[in-house]
Amino acid sequence: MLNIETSTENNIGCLKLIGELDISTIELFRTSLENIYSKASRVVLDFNEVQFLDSTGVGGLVQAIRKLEENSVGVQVQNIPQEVFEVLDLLGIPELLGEAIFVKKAE
Amino acid sequence: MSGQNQQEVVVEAENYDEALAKALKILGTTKKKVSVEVISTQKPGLLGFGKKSVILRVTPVPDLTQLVDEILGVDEKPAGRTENSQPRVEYSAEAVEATDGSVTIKDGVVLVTDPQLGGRFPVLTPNENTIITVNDVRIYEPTVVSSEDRIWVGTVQYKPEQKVEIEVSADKLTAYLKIQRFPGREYIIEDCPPTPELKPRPRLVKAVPPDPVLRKDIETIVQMSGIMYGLDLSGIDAAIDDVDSAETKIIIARGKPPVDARDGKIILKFDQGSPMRGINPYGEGLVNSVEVGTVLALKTPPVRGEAGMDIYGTPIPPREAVDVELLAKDGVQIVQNGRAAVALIAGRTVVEGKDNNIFRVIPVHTVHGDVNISVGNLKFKGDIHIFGSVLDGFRVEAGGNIKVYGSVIHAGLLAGGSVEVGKNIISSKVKTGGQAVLYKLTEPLFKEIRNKLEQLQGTVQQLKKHPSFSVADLNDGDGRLIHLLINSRYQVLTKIAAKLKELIDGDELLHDSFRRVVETIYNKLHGLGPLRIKESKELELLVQSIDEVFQEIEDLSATPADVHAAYVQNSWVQASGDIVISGAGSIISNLTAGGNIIINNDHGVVRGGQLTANGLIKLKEVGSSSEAAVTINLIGKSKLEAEFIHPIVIVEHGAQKYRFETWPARYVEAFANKEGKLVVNKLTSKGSEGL
Repeated sequence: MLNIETSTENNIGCLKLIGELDISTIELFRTSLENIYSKASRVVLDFNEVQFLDSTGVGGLVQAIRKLEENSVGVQVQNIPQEVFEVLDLLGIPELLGEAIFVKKAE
Repeated sequence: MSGQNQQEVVVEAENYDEALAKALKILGTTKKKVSVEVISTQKPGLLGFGKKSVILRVTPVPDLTQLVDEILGVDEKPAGRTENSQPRVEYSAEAVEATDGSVTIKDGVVLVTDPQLGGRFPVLTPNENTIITVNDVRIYEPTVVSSEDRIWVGTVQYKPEQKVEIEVSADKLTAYLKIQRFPGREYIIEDCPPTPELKPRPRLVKAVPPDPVLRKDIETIVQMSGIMYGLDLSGIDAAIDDVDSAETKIIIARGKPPVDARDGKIILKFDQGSPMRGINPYGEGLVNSVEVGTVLALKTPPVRGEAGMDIYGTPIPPREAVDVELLAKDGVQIVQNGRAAVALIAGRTVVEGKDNNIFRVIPVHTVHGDVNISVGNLKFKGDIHIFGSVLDGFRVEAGGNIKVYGSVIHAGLLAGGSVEVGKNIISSKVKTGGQAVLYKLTEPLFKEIRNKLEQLQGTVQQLKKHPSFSVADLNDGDGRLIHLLINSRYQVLTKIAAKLKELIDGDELLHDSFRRVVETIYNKLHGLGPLRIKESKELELLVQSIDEVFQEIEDLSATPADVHAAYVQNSWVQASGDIVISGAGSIISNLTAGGNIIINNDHGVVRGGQLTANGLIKLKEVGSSSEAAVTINLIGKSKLEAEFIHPIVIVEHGAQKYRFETWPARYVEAFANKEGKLVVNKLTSKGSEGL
């Protein structure tokens, strides 16, 4: 299950993800993102409430970030819980896309 | 007392006191009634042989002397005494100034003058060979004295002494007799004018040489030493008479040294030739040629040594002789009971083995002119010598070496051994050492892939156990996750797979099994390949096939085969050993070496093309001002050294790339550091730069 709360302010689109980003929810994530990025120059993904990721979810996330960058839309993933960050790190995602994009949740 | 009638005695004991006690017992007298002379003191010999001993000659002294000694009541004769009851201090009623005290010695007597009105007291300091007592206590440090003190100054008197020793060399082949003489010394104290600080000066008045050593004493010592072989005591008398020397040392015994064995030895008899004219004699490159029946080598059999004898009569065995066996491979026969190696065929002799004892003759096929339409393609299991050039699309294949005195133009050379081309290689393909070169070059890449694949499998396991990682989409196997990892953390796998493929492409002579492994790796890891991976097991199979390749590489222990040429242009050259270009360099050519690539002649340039080596790549000038692109591939621990590099030269190591841009660089060094990171050091016109 994944709920996404969307908001736009000052050209910054914000997606707050609640639940898991996986094979069953990746389409929802993609659609939500597509709806917002054409209206924003910058996108913030709030991962505070993300509990699980699977391979498909991470793959989708990587594709999405790449697509945003291709369209010159700045992106940052914020408030990543420690455990979720570990998964991304094991997969080498921050190293691949840029360490600055992934911000851990403040303890 | 019967001492006067008693003869002197010579005794031996472990130390002085024991020896003296022994003598006194024999003489039935006391310590004070004898005179003692130390004849010898012997220390334990080397290796603890012999024991510590002292030999004394003890002679009873006449009672009269004894009596005098007793009357005097001292062993050391006093040289003087202060008249302590009447201190010679002069008091002056008119004295108004402070005066320091002083000490003086006159006729051996010490006189102290006390200070006046708070002046300083005099100081007395003991000297070597002097004895000073102050109030009957011997002093060793500078001491303040006054006229109240009872002061006595005397001298130490030495009796003549000598030491007789036997020294044995470490190899127990030589024994020396050593006589050390210490003359007896008598001193008196010199007079000294009054002074505030006095150090009595002893003056030597009499030096008494010791009595000559007795021959029979020396003979006793020798006898006790256990030396029995090679004794020669003829020099003893002269040594005894040498009384004026402080030390006399003579040889008294000589052992017999062993005669060493002579090892078996192989002497090469064939003409090893001289370097081919115009060709760099780097490593191999000697022309040698033998006829049928030529003696290649003779063996001199080993000869036994002869035992020696040390001075204690113990035999010394000689060193064992080492034998070496002549061995024959193809084209050689061993005759005369293993004493000679003879050629069965005409050809080039190869000597192998760490003792240079294995012989082989490789047949040589000679072409006296060019290889052209009149000769046709050549294929020969031995060496091929071509005195002309290889031209026009012809192909020369040799199991051994190929030597071309001319050039190779639009042609192909394939040698199991090395290739030497006197002139140029133009628009041609040259390959040496069979498959060895490619195996060697690809080995580090295979290793890296294997390593990364294992790490990847570890990461898969780690992720699957992670609480925030869901395996919901992995019902059909780990394919999806593996694909993700190959495209993220293990991206390098894709790059190395591509590199492997690039290395084998264009090599038509590659073994099929080897090509299949490379292609499987490439198909699985490159492009859309990872999408086809369904489960971890497929990775394990890849690792397995890589291990099989390693086995194959290990089996290839062939000696590296080099390529030497003056100049290479528009060609493809592959050597399992070194590639050495001694002339104008390499133009738009692809050079691959299992060993080094050396193009550092003064005029040697590398313009265009690609250089790959497992060892050192040593170059003079790389690229050109018109920006001819050159790619240099470093493999494993290989290193690039170049004096001048133009822009648009690329250095690669594994998946890493460095591009020289804008500015020419001098004295360039490039290699992978311990962490596997490509390091490029250089000087540019902008200054020194380390990366």
